[in-house]
This record gives sequence, structure tokens and C-alpha cells, in this order.
Amino acid sequence: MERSFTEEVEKLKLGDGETFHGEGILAVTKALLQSGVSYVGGYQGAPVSHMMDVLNDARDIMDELGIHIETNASEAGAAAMLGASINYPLRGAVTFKSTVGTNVASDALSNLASAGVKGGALIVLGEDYGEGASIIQERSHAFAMKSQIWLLDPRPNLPKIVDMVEKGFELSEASNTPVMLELRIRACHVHGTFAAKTNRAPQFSRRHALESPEFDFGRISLPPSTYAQEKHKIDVRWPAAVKYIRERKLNETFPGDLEDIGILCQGGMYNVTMRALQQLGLADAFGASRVPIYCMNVTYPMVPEEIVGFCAGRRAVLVVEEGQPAYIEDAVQAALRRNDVNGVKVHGKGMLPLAGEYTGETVLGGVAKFLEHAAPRGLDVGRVRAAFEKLTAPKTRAAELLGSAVPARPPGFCVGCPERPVFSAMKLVERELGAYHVSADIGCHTFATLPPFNIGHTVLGYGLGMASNSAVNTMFGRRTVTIMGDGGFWHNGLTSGVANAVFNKDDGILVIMKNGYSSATGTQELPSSPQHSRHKAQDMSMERAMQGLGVGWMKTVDNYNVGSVAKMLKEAMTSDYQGLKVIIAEGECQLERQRKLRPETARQLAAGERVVRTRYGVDEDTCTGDHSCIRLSGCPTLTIKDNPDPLRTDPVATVIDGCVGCGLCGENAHAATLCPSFYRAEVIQNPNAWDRLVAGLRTMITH
Amino acid sequence: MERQFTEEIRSLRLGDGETFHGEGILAVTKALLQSGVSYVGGYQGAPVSHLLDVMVQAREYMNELGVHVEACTNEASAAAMLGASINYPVRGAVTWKSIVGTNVASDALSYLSTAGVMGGAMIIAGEDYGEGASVALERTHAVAMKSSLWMLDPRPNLPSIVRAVEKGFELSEASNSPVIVDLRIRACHVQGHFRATSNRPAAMSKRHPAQGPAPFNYDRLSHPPAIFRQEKLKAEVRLPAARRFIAEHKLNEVFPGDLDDIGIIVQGGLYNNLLRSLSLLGAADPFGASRVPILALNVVYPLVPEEIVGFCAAKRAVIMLEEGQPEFIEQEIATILRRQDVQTRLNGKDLMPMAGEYSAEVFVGGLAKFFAQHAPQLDTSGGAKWLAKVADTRKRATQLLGELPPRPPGFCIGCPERPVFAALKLAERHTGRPHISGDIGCHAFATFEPFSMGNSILGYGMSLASSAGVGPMMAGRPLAIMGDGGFWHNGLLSGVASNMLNKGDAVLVVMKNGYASATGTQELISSPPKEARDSTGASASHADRTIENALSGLGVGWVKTVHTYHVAEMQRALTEALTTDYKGLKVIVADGECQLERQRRVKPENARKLSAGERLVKVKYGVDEDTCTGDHSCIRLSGCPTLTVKDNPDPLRTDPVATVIDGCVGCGLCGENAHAATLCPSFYRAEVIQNPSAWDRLVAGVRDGFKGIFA
Repeated sequence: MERSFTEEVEKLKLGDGETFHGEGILAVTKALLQSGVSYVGGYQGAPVSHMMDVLNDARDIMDELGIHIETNASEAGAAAMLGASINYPLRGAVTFKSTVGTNVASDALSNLASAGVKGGALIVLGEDYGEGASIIQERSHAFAMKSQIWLLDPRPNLPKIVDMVEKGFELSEASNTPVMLELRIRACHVHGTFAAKTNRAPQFSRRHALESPEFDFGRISLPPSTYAQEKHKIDVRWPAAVKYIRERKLNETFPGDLEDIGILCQGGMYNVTMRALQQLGLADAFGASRVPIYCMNVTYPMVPEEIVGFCAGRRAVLVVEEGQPAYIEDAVQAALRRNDVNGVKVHGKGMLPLAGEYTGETVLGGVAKFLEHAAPRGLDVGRVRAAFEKLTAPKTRAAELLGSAVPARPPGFCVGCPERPVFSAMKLVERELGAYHVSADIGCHTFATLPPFNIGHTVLGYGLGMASNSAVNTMFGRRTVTIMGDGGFWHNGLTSGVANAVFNKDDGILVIMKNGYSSATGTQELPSSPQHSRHKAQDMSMERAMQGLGVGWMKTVDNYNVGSVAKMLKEAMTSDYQGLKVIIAEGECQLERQRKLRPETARQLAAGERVVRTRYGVDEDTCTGDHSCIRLSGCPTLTIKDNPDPLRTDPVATVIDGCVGCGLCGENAHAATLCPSFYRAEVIQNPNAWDRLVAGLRTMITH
Repeated sequence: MERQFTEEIRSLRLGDGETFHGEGILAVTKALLQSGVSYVGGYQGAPVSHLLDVMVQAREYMNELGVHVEACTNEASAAAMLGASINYPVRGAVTWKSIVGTNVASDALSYLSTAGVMGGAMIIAGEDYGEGASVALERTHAVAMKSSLWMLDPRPNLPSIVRAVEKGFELSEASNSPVIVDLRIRACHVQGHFRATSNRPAAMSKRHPAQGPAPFNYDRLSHPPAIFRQEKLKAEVRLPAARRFIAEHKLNEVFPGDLDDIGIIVQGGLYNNLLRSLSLLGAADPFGASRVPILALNVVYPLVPEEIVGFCAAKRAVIMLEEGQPEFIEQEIATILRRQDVQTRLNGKDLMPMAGEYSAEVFVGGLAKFFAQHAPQLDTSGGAKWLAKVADTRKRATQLLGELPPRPPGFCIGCPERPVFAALKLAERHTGRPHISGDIGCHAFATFEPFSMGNSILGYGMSLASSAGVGPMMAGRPLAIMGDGGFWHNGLLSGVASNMLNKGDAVLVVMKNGYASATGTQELISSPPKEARDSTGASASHADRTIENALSGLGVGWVKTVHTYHVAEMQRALTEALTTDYKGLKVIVADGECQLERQRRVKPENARKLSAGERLVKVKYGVDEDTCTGDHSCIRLSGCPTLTVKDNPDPLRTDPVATVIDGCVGCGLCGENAHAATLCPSFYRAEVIQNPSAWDRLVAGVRDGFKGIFA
């Protein structure tokens, strides 16, 4: 695991009246325990990975309370787990990254939402929308509407987030409907405090088991129950939810003196909206706004009475709703039209961009435009304009001064990453056999799509690389290659990809990156991880699983041995074998390896024990300066420096500090027959007598 | 496969000017070939199974055209397959049942639509919404909006459907976006004809492979930072391009009418029902001429604001007829009208029900209200009379027949899955009833009488995953039921691998009947090999071990394969799994070939034997009516439609006795149950010998002789 949460786990024990300090997503974790959950599950992914990670580290507390925690194989599994709340008064929560996770979970969510729940069911969504997101840009809101799942979008501060978790369970139970709690990346990572409550042990749990199951055909998502459930959603659950939301005042109205206008915002957009108002001189630093605000901490279902109540009598309102399409704005317009409130002009996607993140700057621009356009009574619009221009001027000036845009700095493979050598090998094979189509997947290996490799034609989702290759592979005279990580393999790739290819007798090549962990999300454990916590099974292997499915051609290679990886790829490309060919590219995640290695090395050093570290370097006299080695690697520690030779002007390659000694640069030089400038050095700390003797002799000779 | 499509395959070859006659979904198949697709894939499910079934059976012809056909392991695979159209000018289509299939596919769809496509990419979605649907009721429309996929909803007639497919590909290419063609169950099965055009071989296909891959283009990868630009492209380039195409090619249709101060906007797919309702209301003639102007949205997403405004502007009121909830289209229209300050009154869900199918009956009721408000001069009494007549017929039927008992579907005669539940009923007597996580597949029929087994269903292949939260909370172990279909669809990972990873203690029964039976016995990776099916009429499913191998490959330590018809053995296995000290996942592979598929082999073979005069032995079961105690335990343990009751022939006994009626396929479950549950010994097994041999005749003669002695 990337991080140990020992300190955070202690905070989960806080009781009544104590103060919790920390991160938003950890506050959620605490709020779950305060709400008396019986079970928790999920699938890792930013920005909500920490929730699962912390709970996994907090097994003792969980056991004491009787809470079951499950690391689900996928978000679909996590959503299906919430099925426990259909028949029984059990509260449960699962978490995943959205919209990708919600996509994967959506079938189970449909069935869950159709059946309805008895115990509160909460889905904590890490809404990864906006610049900084790592996934396709879509809104979780769509799923709320599609499946009639309520969507909470709390103002990003800890007390509100905690309150919404607690109220979320109550809402879920009051309306027999699962509830999603949407947290954007900043809400997950916002720091703050809240007054904690003592954790509540659930009524039924591992420690107090249910005695007998309940059979109720009405709770099964099969016809004819589904017809009744669909009507129940509209006739019973929806009104019950709206009633609860109104009575418990989950949405907030903040008054302001500019009463002929107003802003309706998603709860999650509140901070950024307030900041814009403050910068334009319309709010103070404590949140008192001159513009009235209707803050929707529940963005679905909406409460038409509240919307009509807020909008009626105003001349213009602005809807601050991130992402497209404009579900909320449409619903506001429809509610106003139905209630014949025609005097108020609704702005939204005209003033603000239809798509993309609503950053501080974006909202500032939108709010300024709205104010200018609406020109509320009692506001000097000129001063707003001036404030806006003053804020934006420095950026314009900076752009003028810098001239062209700064070069993009995309992320890349870590120093010593075991996946990099595979792409070096792929480049070598391409040189020999010509270009081939590569279906990429989600994972660290997707970094290969960036320079210097630029390998990969498509990305169709986690674990779906092989499936995305199924039509492509028939369209060429040459075989195509698919890349998949071990994470994607266990998520769905084994069935959607491998089984699919075997069943359809596809003639593709699959390279599986076996680095041992779900690395990109924080090196969580997978079924085939080399080391396991005691709560996890130990004997699952990808190789045996594929043998079981009847994969007939499977080879394992050591990634750092670039020559043999290239050879194996060539063999797969040219073999007469018709059918799926799998290459398992083995090399442990370097981050995880270093996490084990570093403390051990530190211990050895402190104990005065002998430590040998391998480093690589470039002989600057031999280096030809053509930098083929860099184009085959992209390792951040393999870079350039000024040529020390005054007669040569091209910079030479150099290995800077940070090299972990994986040896790829040397391997590449060898496999690609580049110039012989790489050397390998062993740095010996706490040398023994023999080391000293050898070094002494060497020094004598070299002098 | 359930059905042979020999005839239908012939009609796929029709050329220019010839007339295609047939079903809607087969017209789609033909339209795909006319559009020059390079590849087709999908996952079976009503109402679109036939599309793929036909393609799979027409493999030879597909090869001739160079069309690659893939039977995908799930809808996610199918959607990912469309990735071929991202970089290359190849057209491709996939199909599945929606909403469930679209759910499963939705992650791949998100990535596909973000990257955008170069060649036309089409999803034929079988919209299974309404009374008759077999899945959770949700709208595919939501996914279209979420991912900026354009959604066609053609009027349900063959020329419109075919045009939607052909124009759909053009729309997809004009706007670089994948397109969904949404077909409700009646559109798939509507019969009709259209003028065919010749099939178009694709420029790039497996017969005409490309020389090399597309040049590397980062902008076609759904990965940051390209995704930020793609999100803007969707809104700023692709959406306007799509709207332009829709307007220029007049994909939506306006039907004029003389009552032009009101109007009806309707999803294309509901057009037939609307017309029928208008004619009942006296507002249209039987040929489809409506007195009220209609805007038929053959494209329901995106809407073209100018078209909406143009249709509404001069009208006092319009009604939006949109099936299902929430009312996406109506809300969007409200926004369009409000933005343009068009004051036309907009009705919709205020007059129509929010949820459920829009049948003609529902339409007549809602439209009558609309007309009463906005066109009181129109005499709609015909509609009211018709509604009254329908209600009256219903009332009279109830009076005459009493409340009819519901007749839920159930297991087929001789189904190999029924014995598993019989065994479970017997095992429960000792173990107590476990929490049963049901799944999607034929085995879901166990939730009905006489078994009533299954506490929840969370989707196809999700049973074991759904028991993860229940297991630790229950005193006894829960039981998950999964079909082989669900197992390969995702259950192997979402269920088995997850339970293993978490050191779960669950019990899983995998129904190994050999096929995706509920959707039409399509093949699976673990379907019995052809040889096993050719050589014998007996259950062939045991001949494939892929499920068992996959389980042991994943390291499952407790796997037992039990033939389902051996009820006592199955009962022991279930009892052991539920009570053993073994900690860890326990899997029972319940092996028994789908009886439908088996009978499809047996019946023609029997017919051949009979006509060739060969000896034929058929096994039948029966009940000895003198021995039958009349308590019907046997029926409560079986539910086989051929095991029923009849009047007691004994005048001194009034309770009806059990009887086996014609149709029995001789699976032997009733006898097995009676034996395993130690019921009364009233079942007998008989062999009916046709075309008997000399020996048969001799034996029968001797028997008759004895009977004569004792008679």
C-alpha cells in the first residue's frame, strides 16, 4: 500500500465532543462509523481511494464494531454488495471513482434502485470531473436521474459533508432509495474540523447476526415486481424523498440584499461561487453574500417548491452547474414553466461554459457576466467590471510576457518502472517488423501513449483493451497487440477480454503487465499480488486462471531483459499459432519495491552493515550525443547536460541522482546496439575489509 | 441455437429494387449490410437476439462480404469492439438488450464517445421498457445524454427503421459520434417490407485489410489531457454538427393537420400507438392522416432547437409524449422554449403518467385531457367510448371468471435446473433456509411458486457479489445461484475472484446447462463440444470442463460437479456446502444440459428413426392413482407443468390425485424427488417402445401371458 494511515485510524476512535481534524474523505469515513454502518466496500480510485485504504488499516476498530469490510473486485461487485440492504435493516456504504466506477456499477445500481432498500445504502462517489481528472468527462448526475438514486452534493466543508453522510442514510431509509454522495476532488482533500460523535455499533453485524432470511417477491428485480417498483419509485419514494429534503432543510438558502437576482448552485460549487462573489466585492470572507444563494446540497431530486419559491419575484437567476448536459438548468426551467413563473430569466450555460471544470476563474467570469447583464438594483455594475478586470489583467500580462505557451509536462513512468522496458522492446520490434495497431488500457502503462513512446491507438476503459481489439485485429495483414495491467485483468479483462478472445478464436496478442498491484491507484492488493495482508487470499494467479480458460499460448518474460521481451513479442507476431497469445510481462512495481527496500537499506546503514547500491551512468567521452537512449526510455533520471568536451557542442546524456539502478538504460543500449557509453557502478557503503583491499588495489592501478 | 434462420439469411442477399419482407430486427440486419459494415458484434437478449443469431448463422455469407462477426462475452466487450471505428474509416454495429446491456457497456461507451469515431459506430439497443419487459425499467435516453451519444428512435415501420440505420451511420460520421438506434420490443417484431438495396462491401475489412496501423494520434485517446479537449469538442463541434445533419436530412418528420393551433411532439417509436389512439379519439383516419399536427422525433437526442421552436411557436399548446421517467425531452423542450421566449403551453407528464408503458389505452386517456383543455371543439367521445368498452370488458371478464390467478412463467418441462431447487428444498429441512442471492437467467424462475427461492437479484452474474454484504451478517451461510451465462458474463470475476480475494465463506451454485438458455440457447465458451452433442441424445453439458477448470485455475479449493437430476446427491452436496467446516468459497457445479437444446437434437432423430422403421424407446413417467395419497408434496417439490392433478377415480376418495400428462420428456425428476424425499411410492417409469424388435415382442408377449394368468 502506498500509504500507511496509522495516525488517521486513531481519529476514527474520537468520541462525543472531541474534534476531528483532517481531510474531507477521512471525515466521511468517520461519519460512516457514526452512522452505524454494518458493511463497507468499494474499489480504489482517486479521489476516494483513501476511504477504503483507511478502513482496511482500521480492521481492529471495524472488528470491534462488527463492521464487515470487503475489497470488491470491481465497482459492479461493490454496488451489488449494497443488495444486503434490500431485505434487511442494514446500513452499508461503498465507494468508487466516478463516472467510470458508476459506469461499471450501473447495472447493479439499476437493480438495487428498482428493488429499493430497507437499510440505508450510501454510495460515496469521487466525482472526477474537470482539469486534473484522469478519466473521461461525464457526470454522475445522469445515473441519479436514470435510476432514481438520490444525489447529495454537499458544500465542501467538513461539518456539511459529515452531516450529509448522516442525513443521507436517513434519507435513504425514509424513501427506500439508495443515495449517492458526490465529492469532487477538492471536497475529498479539503482540510477542516468537525465535532465528532461516538461511533455507533450497528444493530445487526458480524457480532449480532441476523437469524433468518426474508423472502418477499416484491423486492426482487424481476417482472412483474419491476412494474410495481417503477410505479413505487414515482408514487411513493420520490415524494417521500422530497418531503424529507424539505422538512430537514437539506438545501440551504442564504439571503442577500440584491433581492431581484439570485444564484442557484450545486452544493459542491458553493465555495467557488462564494470566492467569485468575494473577489467581485459582493461577499465577505466569512460567506455573507449580497446576492441571495440557493445552495442545492441535494441535486437530485430537486424540490420544485423550493426552486419556484426562490426564483419567483426575481428578475434573473444564474444556475451554477458544472458539466454537461445542463440537467439542473433544464429542470429549473421546466419547474418554472409548469408553475407559470415566467418573469424570471434563467441564465446558466449561456453565461458559463457548457463543458469543462468550473474553476475559480471560470465561475468568476460567469458571475461577472451575469451581474453585468442582470444589473441588479443597488449594485454599481461598473465597480464589478473594474474588479473583474483587475483580477484578470495579470494573467493577460503574463501571457504577453511569456509569448508562447509553456511546454506541456505530461506525467510519465516512475524512475525504474518495470513497465517502461516493455515499451522499449515494442519500439525495437516495430523497427524490425513495421508498425502495428496497439489497443491500450487504463493503468500506469497508459503513460506509454505519451512521449517518448507514443504507443497506443485507443483507450476504451479499464480492462477493456483486449475487447477493444476484437474487431481491429481482423482488419490488418499483421497481428495487433493489446496491453492490459493486472488490475484491469482482475477487474473485468479476464472475462471481457481473455474469455471473449478464446471463445471467438481471435488471433490477437495480449501483453499483461504483472507488476503485482493496482499501482496507479496507490498499490492496493490484487488477487495475484505477491504479498498479502492476512485478510486476503494468497493463492490466485493469472497464469492458472488463463490456463483454466484454455489459453494455449502463454509466455512469461522478465521486463528488464529488453532483448528477450522483444524476442518474445516477435515470436508472438510471427508464430503460426492461431489463437490468443499472451505474454506476461513480469516486474514488480518499483514504488512498492522501493518502499520495502528503503527502510531496509536505512536500517543496514544505521547498523553499520555493508550496503551495495547499483547506479548507472553515461561515459561522457563515449556518448555520441544522438540521444537514442533517451527516446527508448524516457526515464526522468536519464537526461542531458552540457558537453564537457569544448570541441563538441551537442549535449551528452547523463544519469542524474534518483536512479534506482533498474538497468534499463544499459539494457536498451545493448538490445538496440546503441553506443557503448553506459556503465554500471556499485556504490558500497560500510565497506568490509575485502572491499577496501580491492578498492585499494584498483586505485593503485588507475593511478 | 433456438431457431434456424435459413430463410432469413436468404433475404439478406436481396439486391437493388427487390422487396424484403420480414421482421423489424431482421430489416436492421439487412440495413447494416446495405450500409457497408465491416464488423458486427453484441450480446444476446430480447428483443434483439435475432440480429446476432442471424449474423452468426450467416457466417459464410458474412465472410464473403468480409464482415467480421463476434459473439461477445458481454456488452462491455461489444462496446469496446466499436473502438475499431475510432482510428479507421470502418463502420461497425453492435447490439444488446437495454437498459441492462447499456449499463454493462456504459464504461466502454463513455470512452468511445469521448474519443469520437471516424467510421460510423452504431449500437442497436433493444429498449425493454414497459409491461412485458424482463429487466429493471430505465431509459436508455439517460445514457445517450450522459455520454453525448445520439439516439435514434425511428417510427416502427420497416422503411423508417432501415432509413434510421442508414442515416445513423452518416450521422455518426458527420458528427464523429457513436449513435444508438433504439428499438422497442414491438419495433423489433413488427412485420413489414421495404425496398432493398444491394449490400455494400466495406472498403476496409478482413477481406481488404489495411496496410498498416493509423498514425499515432494522441487526440484519439481517451486520456488526459486529450479528454479535456474532447469534452469541449462534444459540446462545441460534434453536437452542432449532429444538429445540422439532423435538420438538413430531415430525420425528424412533421405531419400537418388542420387543428394547427395545437400540436403533438412524440418519440418516433411511439408513433404507431399515437396514431391508433388519435383514430380512436376521432382525430385521425385509419390511414394515418391526423387532424392534429405531429412532430415525430426520429432522433430523440439531441433535439434541434430550431425545429422545436418552429413547430411550437404559432401554437397555443403542445403535448410532449415521452415514455418513461424522468421526462428528459420535456424538460429540454421547456428550456428551449423558455430561452426563446416562446409562450406556447407545454403539456406532458402533467397529463400523462410519469412511469410505465404508453399503450394505446394510456394515450387515449392522456390525449383526451389535452384535447379537452386546448381543443374542446374536437369530439373525442369515440375515445371515451372505447376506454369504457375496454374497462367494461375487463370488468365483465372478472365477474365471469373471478380474479384470475397470476400465471407467472416457470421452468420448462424437464428443465435441468428444477431438480436443484427441489434438492435445495429438501436440504433446507436440515440446514434451515439460507439467504439466497438470485441471479438473471432461467434459474430466476425459482423465485416463483412452488419454490419461492431467492431474496434479491442485483443483475446478470452479480449473485455472488451481492451476497458479500449479507454473508457476514447472517447466522447461516448464504447461497448464491448463478447460471453459466452469468458466470462468463462477469460472475467469474465480480463474484468468484472477489470472494476468493476477501477470503469469503460463500456457497455458489453454478447452473451448467451449457448455453445462454434464457436468451435463445446461444453458445458460451463452456458449451458442450459438437462431438458430444452429435453422438448422443443424453445430457451433453458434462463434456465440457471449462467452468471447473476456470474455478480451479482461480484457486477455488472446494468444487463439486453434480448431475442435477440426481436429487439426493445434490441434496447431500448442498447440505455439505452449507454446513461444512471448510472455510472458503464452496462451488457446486450443477451439471445438466438445457432440456430445450437436448430435445432439439432428440426430436428430429426420433422422427427419423420412426419413419425409417427403427426401434425407438421413449421414457415416460406416470403416477399410480391407487397409490397416490393426494397430498401433492410431489408437486410442491417440482412445479413441472406435466405433473398436475386430476379427479380421483376412486369414488370413496375426494381429493384429486397427481397425474403426469402428455408432454413429459421423461427427465425422471418426479420419481427422483419421490425417492429422495421419501414420498409415497406412486411414481412409475414406463418405456414406450415404437417399432419394437422381435425380442421386444417376445418379452411383451411373455408379460401379457403372465398378466393373463394373474388377471
